[in-house]
Amino acid sequence: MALSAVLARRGRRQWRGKLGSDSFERGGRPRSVPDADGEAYNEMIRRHRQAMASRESAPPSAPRGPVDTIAAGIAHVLNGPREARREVEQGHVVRGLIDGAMATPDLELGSSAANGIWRGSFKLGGSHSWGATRKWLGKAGLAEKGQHMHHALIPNNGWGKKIPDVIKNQPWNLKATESPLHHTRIHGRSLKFGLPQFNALERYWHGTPTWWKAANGSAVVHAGRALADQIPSHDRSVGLAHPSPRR
Amino acid sequence: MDGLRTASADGIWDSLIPCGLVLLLVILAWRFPKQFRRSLRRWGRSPERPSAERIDLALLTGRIKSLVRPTLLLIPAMEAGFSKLGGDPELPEGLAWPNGHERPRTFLCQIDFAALPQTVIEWLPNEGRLYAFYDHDSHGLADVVCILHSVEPAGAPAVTPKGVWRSFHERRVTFVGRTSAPSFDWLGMAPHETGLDDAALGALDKLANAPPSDEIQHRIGGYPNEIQPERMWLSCEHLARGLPDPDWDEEVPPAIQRAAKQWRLLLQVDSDSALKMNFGDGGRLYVFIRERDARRGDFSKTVALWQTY
Repeated sequence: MALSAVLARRGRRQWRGKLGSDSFERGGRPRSVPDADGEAYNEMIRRHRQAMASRESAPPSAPRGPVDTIAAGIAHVLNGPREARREVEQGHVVRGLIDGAMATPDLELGSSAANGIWRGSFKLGGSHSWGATRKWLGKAGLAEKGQHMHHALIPNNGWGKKIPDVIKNQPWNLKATESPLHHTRIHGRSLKFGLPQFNALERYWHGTPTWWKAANGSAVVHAGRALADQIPSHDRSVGLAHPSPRR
Repeated sequence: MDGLRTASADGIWDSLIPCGLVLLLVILAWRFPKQFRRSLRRWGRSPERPSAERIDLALLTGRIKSLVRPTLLLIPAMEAGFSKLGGDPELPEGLAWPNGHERPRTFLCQIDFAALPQTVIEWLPNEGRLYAFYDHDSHGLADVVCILHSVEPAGAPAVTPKGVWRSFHERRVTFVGRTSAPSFDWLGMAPHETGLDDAALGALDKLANAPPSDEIQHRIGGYPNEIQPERMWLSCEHLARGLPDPDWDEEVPPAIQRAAKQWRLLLQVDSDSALKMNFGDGGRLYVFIRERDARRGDFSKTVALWQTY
């Protein structure tokens, strides 16, 4: 039986009851007159409550396909700035600024991913030797004329020798350096200019791709938020987390 | 009241945010003009460069063929000779182990010119011995590799002084002749500017029979196997004259262009894990000499370059 029909009948019964028959169930008192649809109705309500309870207790279902994944990713990336704006609108300017700053890595990561997909920044065919990759980088517009490329995450030598060229000679592993001097200083110092080797932080900044830095930033931000969410709500009013639960 | 406050905040922020962004852009353009221009160029760039006007392949092929030079690969020797990579140098009496900028240099290799196949590289002397020493601290300087030349008889292996950066394992070598063609970098071109497809570019790579650029190559003569884009002949001339590093797009004055044509690859030493050699991240050392100096046997004016991945 359709739910609307059941509800309509139930409504009529209530109306009839209010007229004075007092035949509907109320306050646990037994009915004074038989209800022909009562069992079916109660069964339907029981099933509905069961279904709702199981839905609430079940973990959120995983995205169903690549489109869902991308949509979820976009929604996630856009959520940070939206929250920042909401905070500012509610008068929490500092919280809004912090939220905005925390959303930046997500935006940058999203932008890098979109840029990579848009530009086709993966060398799929042909030789993956360094010479061939270098020609391809120029052709694909990923390296300027005369620009040095640095193997950022997987080195070419050392432990990177065991990694096939098809993996390590890819744009995601290459950092276009600001200048040959920067490349020199990533690997060692420059006596010519009297400059020391980049320290660990500088090497990280100048020697790794933007997407990697954004991913690191995003991971740190999300880990921080997850930690903040663990703190009981009465303690959170002074922290970075929101006083009210997030939606 | 709350609604009014929110609307007012909305109005302020709607104008403040664009103003802040504009201010940020102005500051970036003012403080970092070069990077700002580059970012703008990247922003507006299409995913693939517009196809360049196709260069005349026959003309380019003819040009490269005319420039092909002989080269000698240093390969493991069956019989022990004087020439070797790594180990301890067999310096003649009176020739001291050279110092680097901060510590004694690391011995790289020694070559017996008399053992080279005659007439392959005609600008090299027929006698004498060459010793190469590397200074790990002076990448970017012309003497990152220092060359010693002597016609005196070789001595016993010298004892490595204390404080050297590293000692390399020894490998006695012999020589095998090949031909070497100039790369696009040497010609001062970017491959994508030629408008040639991959097949045509691959055909150009086969104009000489030296091994592919990615293989480990210790070599004498021919053209360098560049890892990064650089017009090495121009870099050599700039280093020799004490000029700043040349920009890729920089117009080369005719006098410098003429002078730079004299530079020849004297030695290329590759990173080689079997010898525990590693220059940066699998990089290479290149030693150049002017042809006229080499013919005179003057190895004191070499210029060395370093590149890495």
